[in-house]
Amino acid sequence: MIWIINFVGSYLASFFFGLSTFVSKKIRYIAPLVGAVGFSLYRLVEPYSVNMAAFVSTLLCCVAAEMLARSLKTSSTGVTIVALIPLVPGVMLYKTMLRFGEGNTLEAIEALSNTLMYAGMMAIGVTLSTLLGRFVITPLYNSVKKRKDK
Amino acid sequence: MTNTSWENKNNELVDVAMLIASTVLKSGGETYRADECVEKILSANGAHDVQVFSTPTGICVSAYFDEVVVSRTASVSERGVDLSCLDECLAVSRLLTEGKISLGEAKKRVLNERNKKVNILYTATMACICGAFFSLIVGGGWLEFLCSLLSGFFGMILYYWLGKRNISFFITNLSATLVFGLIARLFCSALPSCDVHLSIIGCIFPLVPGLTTLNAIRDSFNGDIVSTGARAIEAVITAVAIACGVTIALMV
Repeated sequence: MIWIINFVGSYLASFFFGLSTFVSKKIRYIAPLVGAVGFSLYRLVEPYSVNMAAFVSTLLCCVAAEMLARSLKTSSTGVTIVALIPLVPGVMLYKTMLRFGEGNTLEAIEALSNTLMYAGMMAIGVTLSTLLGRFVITPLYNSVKKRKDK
Repeated sequence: MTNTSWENKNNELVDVAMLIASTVLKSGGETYRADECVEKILSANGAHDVQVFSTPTGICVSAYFDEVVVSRTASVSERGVDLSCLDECLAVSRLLTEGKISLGEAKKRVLNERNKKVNILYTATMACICGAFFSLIVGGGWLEFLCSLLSGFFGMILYYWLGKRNISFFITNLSATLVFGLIARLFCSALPSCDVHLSIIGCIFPLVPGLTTLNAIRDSFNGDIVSTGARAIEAVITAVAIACGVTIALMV
């Protein structure tokens, strides 16, 4: 049951986030699906390592975004922003700032370092996917296109 | 072509490229995308030695057309996320680079998208429903969902209303989270089984600078140090504003 709630909840959360940021019609339904799959993967890997879960799920979402962007002729940024929204460390940042507000400086610093580590792992995933997009996915798409044209 | 019309055409070209790049930054695009847009548009239309320096708050461009240098600076004071506007800018930039669209038409398309009217009620409703589903996936139940929906709606309306009036983003975030916190506390005092923290986490999800933090770190990987600094400071100030709003609401 929890898996269904996670999947459907993250899909609908990403979908409505997309609507609030005026996402284009081309990716309105597919980008949240990428986000929901990514979030489910995150939940699957989370018991082993939170940071690894963040990295793996971000990489999956961003590679899917790069591929979708090429097949639907749109920008990958739109798909990435909508798909990554369930994964961004919002709760961690909230807890960090709450600890600072309560005066628990030591706990706050620990939470801050965890948040930065998590965001860093996500950033590695995003950067790696951009490189994969440029050096692997684009040449692959171009060669497929050339074959089709022939 | 006479000398004056040649100069006018180049000036118009740089103006349109700047308009597109500043709209990309305004709509939440990455700085490297704004750089790429200007470089590709100008290089494809006869400019050489194109230099672009963009940060999340502004952009400077200089380009040579034969021996004449044209330079422009634009400030980006408002920043948000508008994915349809971003998509349109990138599409227009691609068409301009391929020479499939005139400068006038490109400018018209970007300005139409940039000046489109935003319905606060619609945006706030979508954002609060999004927040309500977040409260579910972080472990909340249907009570927290309802609480997030209710407090998120009023908070988001205030957030977009203040944002439309160009109030500083610190005050905007602080006020919105204060409203989230106060309504959530009222709701939870009426229904004690509702968890106030889970409800607030759901409401604030569309506002927390998770994406800004991510982009800041990503920019640092790309070697864009100025952009990293700007985004990191923006993320910290937003997080402080949210924390202040929530802490005040929880202390009252």
